[in-house]
Amino acid sequence: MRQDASSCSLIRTFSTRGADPHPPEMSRHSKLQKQVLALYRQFLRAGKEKPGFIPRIRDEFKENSRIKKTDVMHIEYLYRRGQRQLEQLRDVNTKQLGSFSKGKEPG
Amino acid sequence: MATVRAASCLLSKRVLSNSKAVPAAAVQGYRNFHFSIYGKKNNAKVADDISTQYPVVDHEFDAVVVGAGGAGLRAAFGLSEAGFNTACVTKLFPTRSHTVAAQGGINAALGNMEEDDWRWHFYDTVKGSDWLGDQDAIHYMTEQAPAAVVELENFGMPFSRTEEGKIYQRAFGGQSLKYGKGGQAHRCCCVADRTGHSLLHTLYGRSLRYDTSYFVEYFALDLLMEDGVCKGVIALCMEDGSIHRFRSQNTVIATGGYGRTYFSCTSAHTSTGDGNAMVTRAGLPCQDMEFVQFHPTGIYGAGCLITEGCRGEGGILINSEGERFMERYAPNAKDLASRDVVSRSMTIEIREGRGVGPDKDHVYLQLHHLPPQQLATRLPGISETAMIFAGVDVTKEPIPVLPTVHYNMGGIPTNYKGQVIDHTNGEDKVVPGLYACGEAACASVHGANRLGANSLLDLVVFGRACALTIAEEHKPGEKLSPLKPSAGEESVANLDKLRFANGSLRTSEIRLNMQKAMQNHAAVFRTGSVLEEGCGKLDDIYQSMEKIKTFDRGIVWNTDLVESLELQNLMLNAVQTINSAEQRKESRGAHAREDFKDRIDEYDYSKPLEGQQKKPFDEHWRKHTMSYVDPKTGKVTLRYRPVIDHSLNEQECAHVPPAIRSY
Repeated sequence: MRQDASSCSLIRTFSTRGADPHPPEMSRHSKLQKQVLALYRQFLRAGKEKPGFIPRIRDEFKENSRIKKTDVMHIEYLYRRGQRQLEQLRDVNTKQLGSFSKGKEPG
Repeated sequence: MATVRAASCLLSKRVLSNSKAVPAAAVQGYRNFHFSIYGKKNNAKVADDISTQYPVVDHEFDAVVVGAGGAGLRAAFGLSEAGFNTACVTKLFPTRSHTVAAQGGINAALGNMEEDDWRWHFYDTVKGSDWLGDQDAIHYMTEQAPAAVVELENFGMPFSRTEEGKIYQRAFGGQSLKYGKGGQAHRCCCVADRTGHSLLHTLYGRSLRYDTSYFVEYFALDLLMEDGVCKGVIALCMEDGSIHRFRSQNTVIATGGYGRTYFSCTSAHTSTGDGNAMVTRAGLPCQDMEFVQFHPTGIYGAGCLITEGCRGEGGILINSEGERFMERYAPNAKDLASRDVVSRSMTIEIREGRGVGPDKDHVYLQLHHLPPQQLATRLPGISETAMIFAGVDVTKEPIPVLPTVHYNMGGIPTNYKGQVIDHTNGEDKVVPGLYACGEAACASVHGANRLGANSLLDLVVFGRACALTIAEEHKPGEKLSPLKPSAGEESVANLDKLRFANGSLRTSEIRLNMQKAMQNHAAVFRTGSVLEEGCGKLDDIYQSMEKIKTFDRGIVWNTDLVESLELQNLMLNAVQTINSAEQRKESRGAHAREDFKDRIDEYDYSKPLEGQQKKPFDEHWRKHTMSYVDPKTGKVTLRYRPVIDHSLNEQECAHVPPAIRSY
């Protein structure tokens, strides 16, 4: 999940010890961003064996990536909720994710 | 159109043989909902614009308990102790369940205050139930009572103690010695006047030792039934709006009562009869719904409960003339007569003009003649309740009280082992996979009227009984029977309909109409014409549910939606209660009819039995009511089931033949 270019504040850090591993358009991830990325990774690993979870995990994180990075309260709330959902996903009794969808009449 | 439906019905019949298999295709189902594995859009029939999608997480357990009050917790950790992989699904945090509000105590024939015998307790309970209780279940409960209380004490429950350090037992309504001939019995074990609070916290603490998975703040929507077998529960996670299906071999319902169908009740706002409604929607009956207990001493106005323990400690009820009127209605037991007798006496006093207050519409409970020290040690909770809700200092003034809806004797019919039964072709048939315990169940130990302090006993004994029965009949780790992939679809369709409901009446308005109708038409004293009018009104209110309007369209923490689901559940309970009451043309226990003042049994027990003809089953009323509802129309169908009159072991404990009930 990367910052979109419009909101990145360009703090050019030119390391004197060598080339900066991060290109100038993207500063280093903030601590919260790193936590969210770590959570995403853990989710993907946990959901590998159980059908239906990976697409939903991707959808949720993609949807929530639209939240502004300044809206820390919201992000932290979703992060805490995500941790609880991750625990549930890891539980051996959770088997698969399906969905009930309401759509148009097939025809 | 019809052919497409037919084709997709054939598709959906492809039943999974392996419980872990994954359905590859989307299955067309109920009212435009189809189930698919999330993300797999490989079926061309699935429309492109999915307007609403509900993610469904599937869980598999050995046993699922719905409800985490006294009975639910006891069943859950009983099952975990037996090695079953158990889930406990609850809409409230366990210590917030309504069990916490119980005040009085638990009856058990421990014999700490005087010599006691559980058979005397058995006799009192059968008499209290007005001979509508199933004597095998009552035998089971009263025999297990001392062991259950000792088990609780060993779990750490802080009972009040006597000088010698034994568990303090107080007098309670309807309890006697020597089969009613030996005077008042003291067998209600208590923790001051906060027994329910201690019980629930003790059980919760104990349950943390076991590895039960708690799903807190999950609202159970429906049972997953297939071919008459219960295969699990479907629930809504209130925190994130996801649907969860809990598949298991064994489902235990312990969801409590439905006091909130009435305008004035001592129950929490969350007592909405969810379990009864789930069972009704599954096409199964509920039993004895017309028997609603009016507790004599609920605070006038607020409806908060003042425990019967006050009267056990010596409190008395007085009318406007300062008279202890219970001496006239129950010369032996006086204020400690059975609750229905006391409620009726209070109502008669008020009707005859001897009520107190500006409107003369309630009576007083006097405690100030008791030593203040005793009030402080034994009744601290109600002292505070009376101060907060009635502004009364119990050491100086009497408390204004009125009979208030308190307990539902009716509920899901079970046998003495806790298995849910249906009565078909004149026989009891066990519903496989389904169990019930607590106030939600009707075992039936309380019959037509419950004695005080028997409910907490009922919770722990039958909670444990369900766990034991399941452990007997099944093993942990058993393979689950296959389940249709689209199971639970109707529940989600209903949820979706309520979430986007846009009629003309708010949930709160419909609920208030129902509560007022029930309060006015199905009160302490009931008359045929008033009940009939009530049935008509409830039917109109049921139909008005079509016009319900909700405001919150979200899915996360949508309390508007949850309250509307609870209202649907309450409505199913209310129509069964009032229709059963209207049909029962006799007075028995808590169901008192002005137009049919007597109890109609198979013999007239007020006269000697010789020479009497036994009435056929259709002509007497000593039978259980089994009520079914068609959820679409709200129409109630009633059938009847005989009472079980034999105990579990006639040598150990002879059954009690019916007699006239007087205190």
